[in-house]
Amino acid sequence: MTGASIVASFCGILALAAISQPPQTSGRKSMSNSSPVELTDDFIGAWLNMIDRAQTSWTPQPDLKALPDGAAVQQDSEKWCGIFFSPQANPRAANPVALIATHNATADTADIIRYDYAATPFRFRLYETVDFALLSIEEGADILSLSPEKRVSAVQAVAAQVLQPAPPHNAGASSERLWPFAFPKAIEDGARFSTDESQIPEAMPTWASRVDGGLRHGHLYFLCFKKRESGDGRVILLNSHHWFDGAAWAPYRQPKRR
Amino acid sequence: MSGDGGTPPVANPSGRSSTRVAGPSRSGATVHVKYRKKITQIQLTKLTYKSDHHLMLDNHVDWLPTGSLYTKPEWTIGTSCNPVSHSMNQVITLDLEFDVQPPDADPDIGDIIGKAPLKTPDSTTLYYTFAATYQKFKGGTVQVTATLRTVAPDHVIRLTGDIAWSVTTRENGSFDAGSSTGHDHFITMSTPVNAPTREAGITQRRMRMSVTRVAEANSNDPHAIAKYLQNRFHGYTLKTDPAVPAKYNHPQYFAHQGQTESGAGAWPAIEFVDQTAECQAIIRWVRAVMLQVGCPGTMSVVVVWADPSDGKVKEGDWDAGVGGLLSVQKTVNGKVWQATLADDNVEEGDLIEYGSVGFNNFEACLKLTYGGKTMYYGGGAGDYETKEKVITAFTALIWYSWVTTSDAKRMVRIEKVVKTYD
Repeated sequence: MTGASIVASFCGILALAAISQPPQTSGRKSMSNSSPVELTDDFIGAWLNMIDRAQTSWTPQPDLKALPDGAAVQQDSEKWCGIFFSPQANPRAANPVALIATHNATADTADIIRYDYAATPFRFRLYETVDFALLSIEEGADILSLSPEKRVSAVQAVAAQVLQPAPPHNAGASSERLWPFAFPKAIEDGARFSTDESQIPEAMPTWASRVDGGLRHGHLYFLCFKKRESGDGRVILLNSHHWFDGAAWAPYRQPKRR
Repeated sequence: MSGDGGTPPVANPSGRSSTRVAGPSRSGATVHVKYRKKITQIQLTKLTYKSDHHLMLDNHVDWLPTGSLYTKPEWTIGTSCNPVSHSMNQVITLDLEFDVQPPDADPDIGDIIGKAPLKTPDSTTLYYTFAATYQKFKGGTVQVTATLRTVAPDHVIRLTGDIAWSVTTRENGSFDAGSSTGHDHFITMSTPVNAPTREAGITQRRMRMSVTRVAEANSNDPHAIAKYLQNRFHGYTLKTDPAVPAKYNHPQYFAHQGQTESGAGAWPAIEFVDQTAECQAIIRWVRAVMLQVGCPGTMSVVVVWADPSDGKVKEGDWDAGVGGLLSVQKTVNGKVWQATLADDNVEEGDLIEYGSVGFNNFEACLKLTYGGKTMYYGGGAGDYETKEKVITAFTALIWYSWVTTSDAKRMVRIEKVVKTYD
């Protein structure tokens, strides 16, 4: 199954746009060229499918600093894992240490870090890109083995264990600061839920404005978005294919083009 | 210390000097003589600055606004002098306390001189003199107010060194009164001012750095100083540099999303100048440094943007959290459009890879008004006379939306060009 067909089967192709490659590598694309590009509004689905496409190509990477921009990548990962996850679910705090592997970007996949680690009663697999962190609970949260009426509370219970508590203004009346997921009627494999699916990750106020989750290949997962902020007013939009080599940050650390 | 000059009256063995007093002639009449108790030693024991700002906390270790206000007196015998800050072009005034021996020494009139060969940071010696004349000295503790008699420094500078004190009396000769050691003067433009919010606090370390940097600007013109200071940074960055301790929240130098405020604000930015900082952090640092040395003028960190509803250029207070176009959105045919200022040429319909064109909610500037002149300093992103000129740092005011390719790449589509700038 190709990437395109996966997207089509997952969410439907929403748009076909003809875009051209730029003369150099400016990243500028006009709509006048004949190279077709499929666009989708379901970026979550696109990201999930991208992770599936990456499954065949992982390189053990015990030390992220070995990457070209490794020190910055590691710092970025440490920062966001600390923001998103409870100490129990933070791969940087895992004991024994997390097994780390990396996937270098291809034409249709981004640079991805994969952490494998465990913390009783869970075994985790975390996929992280420059845009998001997807925490898959591989063991210890067999939601589908539960009766349907117990699944929502089970998901909430796991979320409370693996995610940082929701900020008070997000948690609403919940004294336990639970994430206010809006669940579908039935929680089955392939189900997805979100605390606020109207939020655009790049434009929402903070990362806590939206957390997603779902069941995928039988495993419960939570998806957190790296909402980046600048006090300078600059909108930070990073090229996910150039996280490891640092090129994603190049436009944001040069003298301004004035 | 004993007298070393003059011609004191002949002393008798008791140490009292004879004095001819008014009375009949020597033709057999009574001669009244009394013995004066001679001053044998004058020693400076205490020095207190009277004209300094007395605002500086004693934290000289880190960038935090912690520590205690330096105590007075600044100097006592056997110690090193506490640092002081003092306005340029202002006479420095000191209270001096001397121990005069013996305790019952008779009164005399003396002139005090303090010779201060003070060093600049480049080891140049500048000679200053403090003095107090016609002061009454007698055994015991004597307090005197001395002032700087040479021309006061007329620019921002750090001056360090010792002051050698001497007292010349009318009847007891001259005395070496010792030296007050370790003077550390931070000469500022005027009274230091607390910077707003995160950079608040006047400390020894901040003062030391600020005086050093402003002195390097070699000008008393606030505009020249602002320009010099912002140019210490070779550019800006939005990327966190692992070389900067995480506690400082580089490059924004403030906390967001789970971070903790360092308490130091933008002050450490100069310590990590090679790693540079966000523009707003640079200009917060510039403002803090200028206020620390009491630089005149009105300073504020402002954000400048253009309103897509009418194209008008607007200005707001960065410290108050004004976000410019941050949340300026509208929904068109079910899609969210975001307003922004682009810094490269774009056309409607363009699909833009992330990072290939800069999108901005605003331009952050240090707005400085002084001497009838207002300038917007962009922290290395250009200097402008008006907010309308600031906006020309950008190429266009646009609406854009987000799209995702089926291969999971997030992109931006230019929906509408509202206005272009030359």
